[in-house]
Amino acid sequence: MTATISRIDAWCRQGDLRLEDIAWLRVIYSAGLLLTLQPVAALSSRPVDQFDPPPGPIMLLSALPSHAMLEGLEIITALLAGLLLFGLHTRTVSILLALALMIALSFVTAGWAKFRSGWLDLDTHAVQGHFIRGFFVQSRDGWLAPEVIDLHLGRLWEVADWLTVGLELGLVLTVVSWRWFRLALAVTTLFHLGILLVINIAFSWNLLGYAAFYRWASVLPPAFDLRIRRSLGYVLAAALGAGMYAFHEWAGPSFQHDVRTCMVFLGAALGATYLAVQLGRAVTAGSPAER
Amino acid sequence: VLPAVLAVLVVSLPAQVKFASLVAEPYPGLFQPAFNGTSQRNSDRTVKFTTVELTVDGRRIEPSDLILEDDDRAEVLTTAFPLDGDEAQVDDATLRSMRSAVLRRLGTDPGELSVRWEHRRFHLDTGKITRGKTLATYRVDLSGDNP
Repeated sequence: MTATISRIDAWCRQGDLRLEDIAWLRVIYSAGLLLTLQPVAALSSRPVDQFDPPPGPIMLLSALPSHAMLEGLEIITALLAGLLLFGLHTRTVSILLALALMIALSFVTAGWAKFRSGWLDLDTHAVQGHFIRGFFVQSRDGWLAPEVIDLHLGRLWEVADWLTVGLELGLVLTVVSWRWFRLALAVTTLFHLGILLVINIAFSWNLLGYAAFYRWASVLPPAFDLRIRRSLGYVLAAALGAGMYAFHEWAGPSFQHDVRTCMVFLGAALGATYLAVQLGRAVTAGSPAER
Repeated sequence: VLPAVLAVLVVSLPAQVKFASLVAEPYPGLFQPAFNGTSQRNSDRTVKFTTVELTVDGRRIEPSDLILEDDDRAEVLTTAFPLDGDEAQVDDATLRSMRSAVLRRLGTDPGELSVRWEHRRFHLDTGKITRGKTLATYRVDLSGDNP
């Protein structure tokens, strides 16, 4: 176990992230959470028969929590995100809110499931199957879906199957190099944009995880050094968390849905820019004048 | 503590994957949505899928009509009507909520909600959908007489 921890530590230290980048990530991550607070309280109105938790701690509950408890959960999440934004109890809060560094491995599980269930079979087009099912059963018929529904190019759909499995299984291989991992994450942001436009699913929180590997201080202003009394920080964090909770209650679920959609577009724009810059550097470095 | 937690998560990944395939996907766990399996086959150029069709007193309604407060999660409702065609177990509070939602949608007092599960096939070459086997049907009394 100690050896594994040492290896993870060594890998983390290989990176060129600075404290300023982490500070910006903290702000971006908590702002992302505050803007996309999930309305879970409505779950309490579901019939008792629908309570079928996955294996895990939720199985300890005998039924869905009450409306008040779920509402409390929403408020606590907002308050924790507020604390994170103001840099209070960041270590504890970060552990509570997310373990975002597991991106590559979680993709492996998804890629493995696809690999084992026939996605690479040339006689099936899994992406097309899931797309058509979502289109008709779940009304995922926005963006480019109405155009794509008439797209019956079998080879193209098969390429989509193979690229999806390749990306999900291959991401973990790039972890050995921060440069390759960043390039792979940039490609993945475009993959998520494609999913949004065709299958209408916004994997926005993935992007908050990818954001941990971006050098924010290189594109954003230098981290500001705002020093306030700790007690005032608590007040501001509580006010912000409660304010955002109230705002989401007022705006309804469409607001966080729209924000999540914007996050996917923004992530893809950043990913495309990053890829373009890296490509430009590679071309410049490879040109005769630079040799 | 945090590095140890992360290390345990990483080291236990094969066990998590095995457990997910044998039992169910655990939570928490290191999983992205898998979208496993495929419903499309080139042999007959169709995609098969299962739908749940809701009608109130003969009028077709959408799942979103029953969950007015959150259209985005309306698909969750389909799980409320199990495929086995058993008698629907709907508690009183949910029944009242569904009744008022349908009243708002249709403008009249609802009587009976009919639920039908069936297979459909999307034909890739023609773009047409054909109905398949009916898997289950049952009814829920939404009238005010219900306790």
